Amino acid sequence: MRGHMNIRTLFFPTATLAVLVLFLPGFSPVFAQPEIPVVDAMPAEPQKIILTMTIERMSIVWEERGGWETFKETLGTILVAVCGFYVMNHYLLEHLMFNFPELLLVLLSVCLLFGNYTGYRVSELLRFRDLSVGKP
Amino acid sequence: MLLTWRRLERKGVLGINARNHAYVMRYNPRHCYPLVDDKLKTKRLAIAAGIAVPELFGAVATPHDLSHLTDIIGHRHQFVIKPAHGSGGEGVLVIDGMRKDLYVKPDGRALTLDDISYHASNILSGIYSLGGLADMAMIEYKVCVDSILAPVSYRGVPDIRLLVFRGVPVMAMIRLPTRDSDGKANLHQGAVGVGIDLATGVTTEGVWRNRVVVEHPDFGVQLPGLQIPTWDKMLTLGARCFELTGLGYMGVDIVLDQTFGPLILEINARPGLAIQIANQQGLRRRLEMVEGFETVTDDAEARAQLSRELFG
Repeated sequence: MRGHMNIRTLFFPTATLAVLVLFLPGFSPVFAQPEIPVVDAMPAEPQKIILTMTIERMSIVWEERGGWETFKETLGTILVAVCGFYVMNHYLLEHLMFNFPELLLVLLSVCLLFGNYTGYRVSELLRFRDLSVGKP
Repeated sequence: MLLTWRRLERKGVLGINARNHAYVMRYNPRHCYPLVDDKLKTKRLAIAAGIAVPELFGAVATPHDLSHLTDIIGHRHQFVIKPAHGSGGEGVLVIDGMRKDLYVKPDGRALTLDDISYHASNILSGIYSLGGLADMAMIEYKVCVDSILAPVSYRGVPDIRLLVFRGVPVMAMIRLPTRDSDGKANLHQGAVGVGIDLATGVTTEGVWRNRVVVEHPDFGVQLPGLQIPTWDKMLTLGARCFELTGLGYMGVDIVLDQTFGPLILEINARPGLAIQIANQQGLRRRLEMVEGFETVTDDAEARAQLSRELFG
């Protein structure tokens, strides 16, 4: 969603994040060895990684497109994140995701499906509006 | 909304997702990208293949080499400095003439040699390059607008964009600089795109800021009915770029010079879709026609001829 009339958000590789979230608890037995000192430094919670990513993306956008654009994209990201917060706090969703983390694979497949979408974007309906009139 | 969708579908308008997925990713081998993303490489390749390009006066690769800039410019009064990895016309500096020892841009503003050197150093630092990587500055021949195209170009050089699929030109437009675009020929900067009939090289209606127009926004000149000179030569030139780059789906930008005729300016591995608005036609059907051929001849002349027959 990158048209001028949509909410602007920072860019996140959704599929990568889903794999990451799956990977962390999957490998936690390996990481949880007290004799390996790096363990404590490993961020056990994926949100720390996501936060780091947010900061990195923000700094790139700031460098490339300036403060105003960063402000707009951050605002959009916060808006989506707040919506996400309420969705995640839904008791049924909470129950399902915590007890069946493999549901993330379903989410991953949806992400990949979106990546294969070849139809028009909403912004393109506007962009090509002059083409939709007249003879087919 | 749904109605617009269906109409666009019926017209065979190609969207950006479909372009990326069905054409760019399928027909453009990744290893061919560096050939076109680096304009210096494209130029050397073209020269080796005997394809006409604007003459390269020299290139600057490191800040240390900036001291050679004066030698490269020499006594020339007209030249262009641009980033080798630039895109969308960013960072292109055109020098049109001299006033005493100052260099004059097409809009009349004068620059000292230090200003030019500063611009080149900006290019080297990568502010105009894709991904902000360190870049090279190219100093090359400034194209002189052909007298037929001059009345429709605002302080710049118009360029002809050919969309070439499997070596067959499938759609064409000419991009005319406007006051809005600051003499640049890039549509997103405000240039006008005008469709071209592939068989004859005669212009049709135009597109400006994604809307259909029939007059040049600055001059009020009628856009349809303009005959592009040396059209057949351009089609063949565009078709030959397929062997040059190996890209199945590409945009070839050609400029028409007063003395040297058609020259290849650059090649794009992810050409935009506005060409469809300029031509009032979707790309999909044309692309599918070419996709239907099991093999396409490796004679560029024959492919240009094929294009005239199929899409005229």
